[in-house]
Amino acid sequence: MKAYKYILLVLLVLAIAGGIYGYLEYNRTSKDLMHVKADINVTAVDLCSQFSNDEKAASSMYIGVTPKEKVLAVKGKITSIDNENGLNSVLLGTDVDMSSVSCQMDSVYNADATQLKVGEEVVMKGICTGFLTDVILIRCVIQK
Amino acid sequence: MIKNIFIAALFVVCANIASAQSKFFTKTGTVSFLSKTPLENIDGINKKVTCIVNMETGQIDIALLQKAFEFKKALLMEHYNENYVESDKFPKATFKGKIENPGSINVSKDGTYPVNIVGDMTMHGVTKNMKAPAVFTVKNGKLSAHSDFVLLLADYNIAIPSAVKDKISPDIKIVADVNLEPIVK
Repeated sequence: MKAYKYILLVLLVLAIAGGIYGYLEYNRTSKDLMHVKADINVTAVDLCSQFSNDEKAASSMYIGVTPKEKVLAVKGKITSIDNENGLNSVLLGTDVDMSSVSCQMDSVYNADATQLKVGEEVVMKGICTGFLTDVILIRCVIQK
Repeated sequence: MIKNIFIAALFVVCANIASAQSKFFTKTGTVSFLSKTPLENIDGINKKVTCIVNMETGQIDIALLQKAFEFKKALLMEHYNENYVESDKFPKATFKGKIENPGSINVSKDGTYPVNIVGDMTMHGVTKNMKAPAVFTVKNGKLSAHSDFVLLLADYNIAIPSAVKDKISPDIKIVADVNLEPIVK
């Protein structure tokens, strides 16, 4: 009788724990990168040239395989700060190169981008999603 | 005679302006999708869409990175990239096509111009010919375009596991918005 009760209790605890885990997992939001250490440090110029020279190799180097994400810290000179669709994008690169690194801000830290100035050097932390005309980083924060 | 030369010169100048402004582009277009079912609505938004339009020929090229879609829930983002569009294998989605009647759009005159766009959409390794309505808007000299249409997951070899078939719609609503800038040469 007692053993039966214990088993029932254990099962109940497991069910509740499972339920809580499931609920939290289901409602989990994307990781806030502000307090996460970068996996790779790279300069904007290097990142651009690697993607334009060999997109495939650069992709496997800088883009994590889902669900694992690689956090990049990209150092570069700000060439422009744009806001066209509500989210600020900070462009890192050189004035001579065709492509640059486009860092789309994390919506939580969107306002931080307005403190930046064109021409200054900054390190942006974000998730690389690949290469179109620019190398694109999303969910970016300014590394302090 | 002088008047004729003047008109001819004016015509040449106008033609030059028109050709200088025939190509437009953006790197910050928006594409969102919505899967709507009574049990759950799933949406993702991508604000890093590139789009190049040649208003003279009607040629239109759109490209986006699947991993640049953002979701409210991280789990949905992971499932989207891992199980459905398989972003690691097929990182990009593209559209290459044409505006059916580009001549109907006057980029130097404010107004809204409904058109049809036809072309090939490629995603998840599948290329499919499609047609969608779009509206081009010229306002204060700025060109923008909007399109929404429905696509079928089955057309792109995206299978819905039976366990979640009540939560994922087989037809997905796509909304695209681009604010285009002239390419100045």
